[in-house]
This record gives sequence, structure tokens and C-alpha cells, in this order.
Amino acid sequence: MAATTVTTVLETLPTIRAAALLQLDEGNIVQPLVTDIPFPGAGYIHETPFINHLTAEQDSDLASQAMEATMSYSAANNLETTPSSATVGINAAYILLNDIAAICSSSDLQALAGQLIGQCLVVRKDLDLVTLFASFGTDQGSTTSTAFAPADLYDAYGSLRKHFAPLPYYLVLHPTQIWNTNGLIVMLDNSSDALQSHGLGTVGEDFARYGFSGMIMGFNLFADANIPMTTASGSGAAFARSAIKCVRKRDFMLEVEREADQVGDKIVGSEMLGVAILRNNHANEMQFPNFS
Amino acid sequence: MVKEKTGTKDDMNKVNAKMSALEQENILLRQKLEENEKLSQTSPVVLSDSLMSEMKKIRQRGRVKGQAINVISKSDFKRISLWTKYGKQLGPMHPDNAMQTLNRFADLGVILTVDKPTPEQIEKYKQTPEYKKKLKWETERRAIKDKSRKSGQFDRLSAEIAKMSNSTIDMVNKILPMAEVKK
Repeated sequence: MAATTVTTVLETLPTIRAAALLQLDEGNIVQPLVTDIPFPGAGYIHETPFINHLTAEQDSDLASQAMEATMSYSAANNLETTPSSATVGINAAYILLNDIAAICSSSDLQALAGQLIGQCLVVRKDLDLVTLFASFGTDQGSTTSTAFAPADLYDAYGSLRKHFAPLPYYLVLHPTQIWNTNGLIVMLDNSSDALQSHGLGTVGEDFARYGFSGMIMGFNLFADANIPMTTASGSGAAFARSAIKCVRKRDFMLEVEREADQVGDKIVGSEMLGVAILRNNHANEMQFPNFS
Repeated sequence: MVKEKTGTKDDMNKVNAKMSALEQENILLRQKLEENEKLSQTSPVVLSDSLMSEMKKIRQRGRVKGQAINVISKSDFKRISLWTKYGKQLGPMHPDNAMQTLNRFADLGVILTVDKPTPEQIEKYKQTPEYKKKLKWETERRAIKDKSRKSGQFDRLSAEIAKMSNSTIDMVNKILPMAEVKK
């Protein structure tokens, strides 16, 4: 019988690093849903003044009617007495990409750095917008509620229509406020809390078939995981485009600067913008408990 | 201390030979002891403790940062949060937005603070008539909104039928098994 010598070559087989997968972030959800105002050139604060409406006189004594907002109408009905002002600020993020990391990596770290910066600033912008939701004067939800009620949505719709908010209307909620045992989906699952008595209905069918419905009770539905959720609750919003303004001074820009003393490249991404509530009554806060 | 004996030359030789043997044995024992000490220093338990500690020191002092990529985010302002007396957070937002929110809520009769209330302050506020009034209003509002749900509708329907038919809710809801149905 021939003698057999066994050897292994495992050590000669290199481990190959595949292209890296980035940790994912929420995208730019709210900005496309609000009033976009390009604001190039001079100016640091963007102000939108309000002009009070005119009421036609019913008799021959035509009293002069002020064009400016007055407390009698605005304070009581619109809360739009002071101009909406958005102050422009800088959001920036940078990476010092060492030469040794760039040369030794099997991935294109320059591109990766750009992606990291882009994601970081997109989340920052969306956060600045969603954190305004709790600043609206009307809250249809509540932390004392156990689940969504249909009235939360039609009260919000009624509130927007009452204040002449232009269509379309948007409903932006945290994903756990939509898809959860006490979330929005419960209104459409044919349970005892559902909207419809018999069968799912078309919106419920959409949820049953696709897991999502683009529109519910007059609102275009969006999920945004950037909405801050505390252990108690989180605030989404039902709003029209005119509720918030996003003032863009300078759009996203990526610069690469050689840092010779650091033996690397500094990659800087930055943008200049400001966000503010434009019309307080064209949005309702939708605060609901943290169901997760 | 060894006390030398006085005796013959043979006796002296024997003693010297014994002393020499003892010295040799002593040397061997010392060598063995040293070897044992060396062995114990490289035993697995001691090795893992000391090795990990030293490796940690090397990592801390070596400061190899070539492979690190840090994303540093910055703004030219600090975002501010506002708080209700019962601990609800608004923001964080641009200081100018915080100022506008402060004024907007003041117009609505809600006083916000920049300082986060402590759990004790929140608890104290929850004992005030102001909060109890707010909670009562909120509970009533929720009760009205909750009527828009279907839940409880069947019970209400049963009660209505029982009332109309001069019966009880139990009787209305009682469904007889086939065997008990009178023919």
C-alpha cells in the first residue's frame, strides 16, 4: 500500500474582502413635501410676511380695512400675526481619509466617504424638518390614546380644510406608528378597530396586498424613521405643502482638500439652508404613543 | 552552621566529599527552581491575563489610526429643545425656530422652557389643578374620538336590540346549539 502524505494549503488561500455595505439611513422624506424656496444671493434670514384678508363691507360705510395682520382675526383664527422667518445655517460633515486607508482598501474609499457624508447630511436635513412637527399649535393625537382612531385623521383633514390649506395633504408618521399592533394599519385590518364594517375596503386591500397604501382618508402617506420616538411617544404630522418652508441658500457641495501634514485628503460636504414653519394652521401634529 | 570535626585524614575526605555532593545537589535544585519559575510565568492562565493587558497598552499607546474613517458633522449653530411642564420635548431646532415656537405656544397659553424639567418637577406639576384640568379635557377629547372606532359597536347593538325586544343582552347574544333548538 502506498504511503500517503497529507498536507493543507488553507494558509495559502487569501481572504477576500467584498465591497463594503454601508449602514443604511432614512432618506430625504419631508423636503420634497414642503415649500421649496431657492434663496441665492444676499440675505441671511428669509421672511414671509402675511397679509390679512379683506372682508367686503355690507353697508355703505366703507371702513378702511388694514392690509396688515391684526390681532382680531389672525390671533383668534390663524395665529399668523408675525412673519415666518427662516434663518439660514450651515450643515457640514467631513472625513479625513488617510492615504494608507485609501491605498490599502479594496474598495473605493473616496466614493465611500462621499456616500457617508451625503447620508449624514440628508439625515440632518430631514431631522431638522421632522423636529418641527411638534411645534405646530394643533395636536390631533395624544399620549393618552391607546391606538389611532379614525377621528384623528378626519379631524386633521377638517382642520386643514377649515384653514384653507391647499391640497394635496400629507401624513408623515414613524414606521412603528403605521405598521404596529396599535398603529394606523389597525384601522384597515377588519378588526373591531377597523374603519370598515364588512371586508377590507380598497385601502385595506392595498395594505393586505402590498403592505402599504399610498393614500388614506385624504392623506398621502409617508413613513419616516427619522421622527424622534421617545419611550413615551413620537410626533408625526398631517400637513399641506404650505405648512413648512425649506429655504436653500446653497445646495450640497463636496470639496476635497489635500492635508499633506496628515498624509491624507479631507473630504468636506456642506450645504446652507434654513427651515421654518410657514403657516402654523396648515399642519397638525400627530402625536401618538410609542407602540414598539 | 557546620562544625568541622577533628579526626583522621580519611574522615576529612569523607566530609569534603559529602559537602561537595550536597553543593552539587543544591545547584541542581536551584536550577530546577528557576526552570519551574520560568514555566509558571509562561503558563496559559498567567499568559492570557498579562498578554491581554499588554496588548491593550500597545493599542492605546500605539494610536494606529490609518484605517479609521470618522465622519464629523458640524453646524454653525446649536440646536435648542423646548420642554412643556409635563416633559414633552419640542425640537431640537434652530434657535430662531425655538424663539418662534416659544412665542407661538405662549399665544396659545402654553409656557415652554429651555431647561428640561426634572422627573420631580414633572411629578409635582402633575399634581396641580392645571394639569388635572388639562388631563380631563384630553381624556374627554379622546373618548369622543374613540367613538369613531368600530370597537364596542356590537355590544351597543346588542344592548339596543335587548332594549327594543324587552329582553336581556345575554339572551340576545345566546346562540343555541343545534341539538337545543326546538322544532
